[in-house]
Amino acid sequence: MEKENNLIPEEDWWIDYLEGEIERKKKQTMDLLLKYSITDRKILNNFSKMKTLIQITDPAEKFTQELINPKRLKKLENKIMKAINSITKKESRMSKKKKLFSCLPQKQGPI
Amino acid sequence: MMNNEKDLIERVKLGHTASFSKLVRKHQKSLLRLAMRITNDLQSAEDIVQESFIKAFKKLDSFEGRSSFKSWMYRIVINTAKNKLRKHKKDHLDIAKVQISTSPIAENSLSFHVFKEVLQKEIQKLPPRQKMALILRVFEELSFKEIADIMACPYDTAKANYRHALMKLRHQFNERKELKTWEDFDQNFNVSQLTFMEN
Repeated sequence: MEKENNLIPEEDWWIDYLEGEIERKKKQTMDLLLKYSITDRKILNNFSKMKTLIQITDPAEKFTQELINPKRLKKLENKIMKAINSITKKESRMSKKKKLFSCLPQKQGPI
Repeated sequence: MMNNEKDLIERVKLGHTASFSKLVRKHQKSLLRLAMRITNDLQSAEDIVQESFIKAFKKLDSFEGRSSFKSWMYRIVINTAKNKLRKHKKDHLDIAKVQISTSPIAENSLSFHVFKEVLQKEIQKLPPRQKMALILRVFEELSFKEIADIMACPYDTAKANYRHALMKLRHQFNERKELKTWEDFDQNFNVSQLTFMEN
């Protein structure tokens, strides 16, 4: 029987279930399993607990203060804008040069 | 996309560079968090965000607004981070660097601290696309549609990458001795408790 038609849940189905992404037909079976099967309940609980643990180990958490520090953010913004302004200036210089050169008579080769 | 943001983008495209700073101000925090989650290092995260905004500015003409500006920026940050990580393939986490606290709550704190470091290391070791799907789903809390959009892949692929990441981590949870205690952690704890534990 194909996997899709088999309603004995695979482990990854529980991940879909946890994420609210499970198909309706499968969900009905899984709801029943959750009601009567300790093993299946444990699998789902474990995935759920694992997800919580991953969330709590968020690497961004240890830098929360730095990530919202207005001075640090302003400094970063200034750095970005400084780089962007220098790109713009360079581009404008280049286009001026191009215009200037386009006004000059083209070289026809050695006279 | 908010009209305001669309207007800002149009103004930048017309040459009003200063408007770009408003876009930077609006998105830098969330992009820094994302880069931080990918690299696990604040300085690298800042460099990535800076580089990404510069790339975005240079390529703004190609942004047509089919996805949100935020999704577009996420994609740039992810690609920039991937390139950077590829260049400097070094591990930012070193379990030997975990500080040993001597406070009365040290034991709890230490075991969780070690757990956290090891788990973060395992997340960093995931294949890039699985890691991205996990970060975008678990930390950024995005829908699979948004994840697929950012990762430029079909919806089902985004979901499959996420599933594989979780399955792989669960395998590691059961294999590595530092992670084996995971079932002992109380599922109902919250971040404030952990902050207390870590102080």
